[in-house]
Amino acid sequence: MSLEINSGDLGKLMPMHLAVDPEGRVYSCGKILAKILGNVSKIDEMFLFPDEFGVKYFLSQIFSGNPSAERFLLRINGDLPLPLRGQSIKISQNISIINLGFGVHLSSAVQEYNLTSTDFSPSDLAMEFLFLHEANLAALSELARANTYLEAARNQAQILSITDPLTGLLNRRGFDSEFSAAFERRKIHPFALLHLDLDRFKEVNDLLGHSAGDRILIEVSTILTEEVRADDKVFRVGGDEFLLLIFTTEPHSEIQKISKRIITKIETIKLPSVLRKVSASIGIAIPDDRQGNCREKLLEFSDKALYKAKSYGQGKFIIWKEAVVL
Amino acid sequence: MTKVGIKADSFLTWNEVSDNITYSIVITSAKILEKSVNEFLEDMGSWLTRQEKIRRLLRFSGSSFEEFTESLGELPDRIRLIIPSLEVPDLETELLATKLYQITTSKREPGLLRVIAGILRGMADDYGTLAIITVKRDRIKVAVAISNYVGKRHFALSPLHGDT
Repeated sequence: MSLEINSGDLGKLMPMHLAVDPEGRVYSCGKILAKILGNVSKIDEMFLFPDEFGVKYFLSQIFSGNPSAERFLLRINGDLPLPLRGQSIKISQNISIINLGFGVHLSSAVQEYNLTSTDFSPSDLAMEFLFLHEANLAALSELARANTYLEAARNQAQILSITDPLTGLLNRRGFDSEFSAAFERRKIHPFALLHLDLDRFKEVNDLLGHSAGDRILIEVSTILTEEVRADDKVFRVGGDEFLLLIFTTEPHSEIQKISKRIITKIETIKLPSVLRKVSASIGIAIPDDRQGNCREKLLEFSDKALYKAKSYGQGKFIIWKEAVVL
Repeated sequence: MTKVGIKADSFLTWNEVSDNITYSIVITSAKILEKSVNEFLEDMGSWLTRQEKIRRLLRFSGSSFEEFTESLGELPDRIRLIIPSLEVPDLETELLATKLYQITTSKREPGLLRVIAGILRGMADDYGTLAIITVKRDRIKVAVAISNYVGKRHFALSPLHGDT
């Protein structure tokens, strides 16, 4: 049985087909190809053929009945040399039908040639491909948006996790990471570790209540922040316990001035006259060879120095030395 | 959001939200906007069609409003192609007479029908079609009065071919 179909109908049914003779003359052309290529009558005007495998070779292949001719790539001879995937079937001695497809270049082709949904045959999956492609991009951009939001939320959570909510200073967790980083760089950026504890803070809390105590802690944190340089770090690590990292090339001489200033300032905090003023004691440790590579040791030294300072009464500071270890 | 007792930032794209939360948001929003719940849901459907990315995806369903209505049954499958986990009840379009369609759902979901009705209204505008859309209990009726009432909004297959 043989079927007959006129080329107009074939053009609609297979919008990407060509019917050619062994000379490369085009007898029928699908409507998308006609839209892309215009009125061309010879196949070598439509596509780019490399020199070594010219149009003659191509035609001889598709008329040879050679199975290798059943799948091939053709490049459009135009501004955008899109590769089209194709297949050919020899339907008579003088006619072969070539059917082409855009493959993964569909989106580029639609954009380049302004193709519309009515250009494609309803059985073609082109529309679904374009739909999926676009839906996919939209879904990705939505996910990226959600991602950005999560990232910001995570950063915020991270900041909160190292911040003391009352004073806004870094907390113990914040101290641990800053201290270990500073200790690593102690040879290049020398620093002093200050351990500060308020004197008679408990009295204030007991007599005036916790909100008054909180106000004093906030005032102290403001004083500490103001009395050190921007690069220095202040931490609140316990109730009325603060740690400071003071970066200076001359820790021994600088640190005494800073400590004196801090204590004087804290003693100016105004309190109801029934109460004696609050003050602060400071224990100081400066990295040298004695604590070796152990930063916990340095922290321990500052704690011991603080303990010693407290034992001399209030408003004192002591730099840790071997001699004072109790 | 606070009226319903939830935080705006507790919603994440593609996270499942329980129906109760959805219902209370819908009811509270309708109250705030002084609309009936049905009106609010239809407005939400139309609003969806005015979001350019969504509008474009919807326009892939057909080149005319009639085609869009006829292929509404494909919409849940299209949605599943993109978000497989999203549960969308099946939709069915029946042609009752020339230019008269009836749309029903596989699951009784009166709220969904209202949203679909809103989408149909929005897309009728988009295609420049004059259509009468009515929701009765478990079905939507669409009567197309004039197909090319006003100009269609621009739609090119390639998003790069731009609007207007």
